[in-house]
Amino acid sequence: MRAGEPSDDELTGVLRACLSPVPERVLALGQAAFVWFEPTAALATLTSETRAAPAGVRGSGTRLLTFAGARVSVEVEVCGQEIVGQLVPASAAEVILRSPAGERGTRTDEAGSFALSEVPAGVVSLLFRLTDATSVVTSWIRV
Amino acid sequence: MEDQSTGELVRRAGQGDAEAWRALVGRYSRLLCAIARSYGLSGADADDVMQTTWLRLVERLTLLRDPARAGAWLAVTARRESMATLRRLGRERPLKGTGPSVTGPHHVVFGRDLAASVGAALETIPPRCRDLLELFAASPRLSYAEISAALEMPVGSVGPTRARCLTHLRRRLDGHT
Repeated sequence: MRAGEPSDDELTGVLRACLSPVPERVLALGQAAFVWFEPTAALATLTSETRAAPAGVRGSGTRLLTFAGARVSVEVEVCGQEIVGQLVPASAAEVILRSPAGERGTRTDEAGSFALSEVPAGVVSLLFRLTDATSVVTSWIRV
Repeated sequence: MEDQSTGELVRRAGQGDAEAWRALVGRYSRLLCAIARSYGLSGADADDVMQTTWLRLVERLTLLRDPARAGAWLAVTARRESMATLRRLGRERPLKGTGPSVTGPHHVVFGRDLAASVGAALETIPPRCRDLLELFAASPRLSYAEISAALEMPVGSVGPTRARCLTHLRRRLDGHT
């Protein structure tokens, strides 16, 4: 730095003034995420994802996902806009599909299986309310 | 709320405090934008990265091992989500340090001479330098650890790289003023 040139701090100050504000849309995106806060549900995180694709076909086929939780795990198959899955060990539960497009519910059958169709594209997460009043939520995935 | 520590904001948000959450979003959105941009992502693709990153913090608010380091955690998560987005799009990460800004001008050019020159000079220095200097200029301030996590740079290199990038910028200013 030579005499008369702006100092590091001055330059950083000018940079601060030059930065355009973070767009309102971006802030809104972050703020909206908080509505999905579910502190009482146990988190089941994605531990494996495999793709059962027919040979020679790219970008299609079924994704097999496992979410592991402390007591209950969730196994799902995602095929196009359909999700079928089950709770392990098999448990009866109310199933709620969560997505920025809204919430939708169904129930598992006696074997702990469930199916959801017309799942909106984008991020989704599944919330299960079990009969013992506990609940389990999967981490977010993109479908 | 603005002057509260990140660890405190995470703890309060984990108790359901929406204002604390807003403050976290305000503090780290620029960091997440810069990371998505450094992977060549813009528009809806960058929005996807930010949305997923925030959702991942929401699901882990009460589970983070070290809430005070939530900024670095967000940076690492945003990088992972950026890579996942590139894979989904079937694209590669653009080479670092090459090419002009992918998002076009993102600086407000001020009437003041120095601000205008700095804005113009910023567009001509390597993108990685520009990202680093922008993160240093973010308000409220980001820590070295957060900037290091955002740019995949050892913490010890952040200071010296900043000095080098400021020299770059000064040299360009000499050319403009």
